[in-house]
Amino acid sequence: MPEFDSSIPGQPRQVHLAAHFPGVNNTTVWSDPASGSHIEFDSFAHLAQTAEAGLFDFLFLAEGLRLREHQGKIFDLDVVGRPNTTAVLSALAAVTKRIGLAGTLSSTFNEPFDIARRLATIDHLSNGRAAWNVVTTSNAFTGENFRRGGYLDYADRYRRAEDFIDVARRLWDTAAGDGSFTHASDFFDIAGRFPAGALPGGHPVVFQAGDSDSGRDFAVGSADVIFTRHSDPESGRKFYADVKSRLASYGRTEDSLKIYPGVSVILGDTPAEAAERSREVASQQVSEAGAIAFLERVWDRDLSAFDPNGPLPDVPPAGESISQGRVKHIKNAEATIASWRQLAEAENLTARELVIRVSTRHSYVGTPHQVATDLAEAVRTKAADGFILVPHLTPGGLDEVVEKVVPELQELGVYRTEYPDGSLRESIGLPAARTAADWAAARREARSTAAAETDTTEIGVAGTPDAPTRELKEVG
Amino acid sequence: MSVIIATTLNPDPISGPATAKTLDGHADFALVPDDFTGYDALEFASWLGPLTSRLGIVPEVRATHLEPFHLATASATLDYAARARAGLAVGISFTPAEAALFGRRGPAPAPAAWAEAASVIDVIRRLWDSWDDDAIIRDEATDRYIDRDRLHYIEAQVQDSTGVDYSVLGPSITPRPPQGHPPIIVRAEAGNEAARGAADVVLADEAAGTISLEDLRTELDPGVPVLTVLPAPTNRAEVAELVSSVRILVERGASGVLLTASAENQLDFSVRIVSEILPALHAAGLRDTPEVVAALGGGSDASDLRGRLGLAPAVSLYADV
Repeated sequence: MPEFDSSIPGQPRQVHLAAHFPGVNNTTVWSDPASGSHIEFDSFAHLAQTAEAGLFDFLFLAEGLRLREHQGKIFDLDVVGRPNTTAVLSALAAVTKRIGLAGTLSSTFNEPFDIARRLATIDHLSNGRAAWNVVTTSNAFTGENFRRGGYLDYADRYRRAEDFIDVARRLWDTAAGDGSFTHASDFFDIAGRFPAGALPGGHPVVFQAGDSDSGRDFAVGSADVIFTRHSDPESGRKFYADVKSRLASYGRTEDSLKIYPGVSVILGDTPAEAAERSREVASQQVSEAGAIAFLERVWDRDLSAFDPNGPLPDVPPAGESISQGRVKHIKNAEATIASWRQLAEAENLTARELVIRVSTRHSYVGTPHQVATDLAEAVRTKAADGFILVPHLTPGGLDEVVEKVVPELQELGVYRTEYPDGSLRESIGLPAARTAADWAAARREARSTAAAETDTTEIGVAGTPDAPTRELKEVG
Repeated sequence: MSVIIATTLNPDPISGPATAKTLDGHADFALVPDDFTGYDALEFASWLGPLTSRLGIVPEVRATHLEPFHLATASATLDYAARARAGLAVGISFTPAEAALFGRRGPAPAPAAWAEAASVIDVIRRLWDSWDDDAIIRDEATDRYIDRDRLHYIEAQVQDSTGVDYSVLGPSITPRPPQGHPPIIVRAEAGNEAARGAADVVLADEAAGTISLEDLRTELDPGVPVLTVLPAPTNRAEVAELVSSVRILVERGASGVLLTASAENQLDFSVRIVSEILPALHAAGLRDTPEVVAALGGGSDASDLRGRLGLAPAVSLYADV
């Protein structure tokens, strides 16, 4: 496929950075004296303004619509609690000028008119900086908080999400005209008038985070940006090549879908100091109780009788899931446990040390210059278009990156020195928004061709999930 | 004696912020209306939060087709972003046109929608209260971030406007907002006794002829302020009339007024409130100076909206659980 690069001809591929607000996951350290509030607005303002000072593309917020449970009780070892996604993005629009405001919003527990209008409002208030990470939520567990309730099976989840995005884009298209719309499909039967006024960004930027085969097709068919867990450059390059190779059949250029892995950065004045700091943070990220809970999620049974500072539990895994409200990354517990036993034996690791070893590998560890060089190399070799940095501290976890790594990237000639004119699309380097009708037509064309060639299954049918990834960080 | 002075603030991105900043420190709260034809009031109100420091900010939500869970977390988040100045005006949708925007269920008569709204108010308060104020403990001895015994499943059962049952389990994903219960405001209408009975503040529009202040005063708890809805005065003569009206309304049981202005006039009107209406009310002995009014919030946070409206601090519905 011919190269189509958005960077200036003759210039190296430019690095893009974005910020993930820390919180409800197993990498955020709340026990550190520097850890601030995960709910007060000042924390959000601090991280957004820091990222904006570093000329980042966007601030990213995850979402969970029910508190996670473990063994039937609310999980209490990680950060618990977060604000409403869109409300905090709207408030951030008032205290920032250029940074994108990206929020995760479930297509399962929302209605298209409501979500489209919220995002349009944010896009207007922020002058074209709204972005939406579309997720689907399959389980009845989360549905218990919603009048919509219930859940959809896996195949219908993607079909509904695709239709949901189409409807939202249609509504944004109509905003440029008189706003009137009707839409009747398998999932929605709606009509009326969308508030008039063309959105400054055309359409809010749409993100997708799926990783399965159908998830990738979903992204290629509907998304502007992919947020991926493939944070190491080697697996990143495979993912990047695979996703970008799918674009042509959808009539899309390579630069029309950007790939941002979630990554962590640990800095030190010397390589040795950074490595030591990485070990310290890893140790903070896995408490003794947290280590046992982590193992319980893999073993799917109560392991409270075992000592986190002793060997791995010498019992087999059980079958029933004991954890609810989080994405399960390990599909084959027995094989995983067997490989961990080997590792623990070979390196003489306690249970907690093993958990630290398998769950906390930091993506980029080194001096600011080293890290900048490595980030630039990952972009140059097409492991990524940019990175969503996932700090372990709220709200100051990116202060040092902005202060030290950004200038190094600029020195290398791979990072901008000011925001470009325009909306978030221009900051990311995306082409202008296409109409909803364009998206739908391209998808129909691509899939009818694929079906004719291979008689393959249509999108929405569960693809083969990828082999279990070694990294077990939660960045969703 | 200090009457409550509130005004509508239409979600217009050009005049909105300037209007809010003019009112900030002078009027008690601004109500952001939302009938689904313009910007989303909750988002717009959240945007105004960091742009102001004293003004109460009260988005309208027509709850009939919306998720109570999202309304609870969004209003709680507004209370954080606005530093304890959030309120929530709960209304209904009953037209076929509003139902068609969502396509989830047919339109229902207003009484059925109001009956659901009363339940939704309870669900929202329970979700706010589903975290005790001291739920986050960060206890390093046990590695626990929260004490889960201080979180509550609300297990609410609700019947929607078309007679379909649904439930909301909880707890909220958002910790208890700074005010505990941001004031809930309901406009009194024929047949919405249950919803207005659940409100912290009730609006009375006597122009419709179906509602009277005296009846509301008899019906409602004495601690619930009733605000009369009046059009914004547009000249000095009307300002003088307003002052006389306010005196009479107060004698009849009102605690203040909500003045309604159009999007086109709202910035000019906000200037009139600050430069003419409030000084005239002060001269008439009906309103304290801004400094005294601000101090009504009491304690360390003088801008707390509950305090400003004379409402007692909120007690959690799970205080004894």
